[in-house]
Amino acid sequence: MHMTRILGASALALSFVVGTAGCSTADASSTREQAAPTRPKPDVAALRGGMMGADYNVQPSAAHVQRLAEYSVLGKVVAWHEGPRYSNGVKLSDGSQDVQLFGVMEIETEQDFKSPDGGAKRRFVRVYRGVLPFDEEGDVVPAPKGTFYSALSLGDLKRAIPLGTRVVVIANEIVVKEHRSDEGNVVVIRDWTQDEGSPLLTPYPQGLLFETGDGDYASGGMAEAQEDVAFGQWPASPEFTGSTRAGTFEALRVQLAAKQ
Amino acid sequence: MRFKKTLYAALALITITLSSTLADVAAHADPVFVDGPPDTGAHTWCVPASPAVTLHDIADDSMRRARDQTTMTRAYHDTCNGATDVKWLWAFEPNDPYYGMAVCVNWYENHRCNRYEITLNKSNIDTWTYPGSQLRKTACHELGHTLGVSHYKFSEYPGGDTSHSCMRSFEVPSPNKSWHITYGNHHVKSHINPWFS
Repeated sequence: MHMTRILGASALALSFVVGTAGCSTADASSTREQAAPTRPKPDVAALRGGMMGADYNVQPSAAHVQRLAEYSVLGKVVAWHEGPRYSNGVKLSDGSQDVQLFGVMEIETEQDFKSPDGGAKRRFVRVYRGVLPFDEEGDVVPAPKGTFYSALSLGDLKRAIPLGTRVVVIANEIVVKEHRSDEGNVVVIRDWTQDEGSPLLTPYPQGLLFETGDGDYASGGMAEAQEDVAFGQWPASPEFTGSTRAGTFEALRVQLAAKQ
Repeated sequence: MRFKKTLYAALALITITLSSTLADVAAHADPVFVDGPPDTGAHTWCVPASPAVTLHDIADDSMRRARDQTTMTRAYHDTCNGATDVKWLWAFEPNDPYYGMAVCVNWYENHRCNRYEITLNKSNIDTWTYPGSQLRKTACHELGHTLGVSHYKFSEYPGGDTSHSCMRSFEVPSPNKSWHITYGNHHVKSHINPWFS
């Protein structure tokens, strides 16, 4: 009888602890996750690639961004590709050269809200990966002791945004040309060409919106990425997981479709 | 004896469940590396493209103004190297919808940034109605990110400020305003000065 009481009390106490711990991760969205168990869970916070912040023409909503953009499409991520690489052609004192890296996200179009070419089955979207220094042999210069680079690998992108993730892309076509002048250079280290002749799109800072596991959406760009945090509490926004706006991904789709 | 076996089995099961659940909690609490502050000491800078007079001048102006408004000190590197805090660059991307961006290339393990890159998109800045003011504002803005402060949008002033600073994200709506080239009181007193003092 005594053992039974111990067992009962232990189980009750531990069940309470487990239940309490579970509460800190489970919220209302978990219920919705159960209803859609196969929906991918993108980790948009992992897309920053060292990006600290950008200055851009902030818009109050995705519909406003869509008005400015050339393209606005909803699709499903079907592949990740190695993207273009650029540098300014100027070497650092050790002979290395900083190179800006991109991945290319291939999406299968589900709905075309706006496009000057009348729509396409596939779209290719340039996604920022960060900066890495390369030596004259083309190898990455090892990071100084006690440091690490912030640039993302293609594998990082694949893990962050699993295939099958639905995304809204509001973007312009980007064509980067070699540029050399007294003001500075743009050197194309690796270009991007697609056999089908599809344009390469570059999203607006507020124009990369991924459907989350619970059916809402989160920005993979710069939108609402930052919060003000007082001195002594750096790094700022430690819980940043990508901004989530009010409403669901479906509501966003309806909104953009209505504003075509 | 049977109770003991049952107890041990139940405890083992609950322990496994508890460990798994707490590990999940810990994983959710992992911080991501955003808006880390710079390393301390002089904020060193360079402009790699020579002669790039315009870029050098705007970078120099921005660094000087930041020094004058805060406790930050600065030092110029003739040649960019792996220890230079801020490298300034032009971009020429007319269809890429941004005016400027700041990137941390290299982090210390304590999540402070060792080396930043500031890119000013000359193509977009030059085509805005007030290119000179936009250039000064964007340069001040991006430098602010390398000093460890965040931007804000619309009129959502940070930390009790009541007027704009260059950390506002947007194109400048009118030319030659003092806020285009100054940091807000909150950013200076609560962020930049405590860090560099």
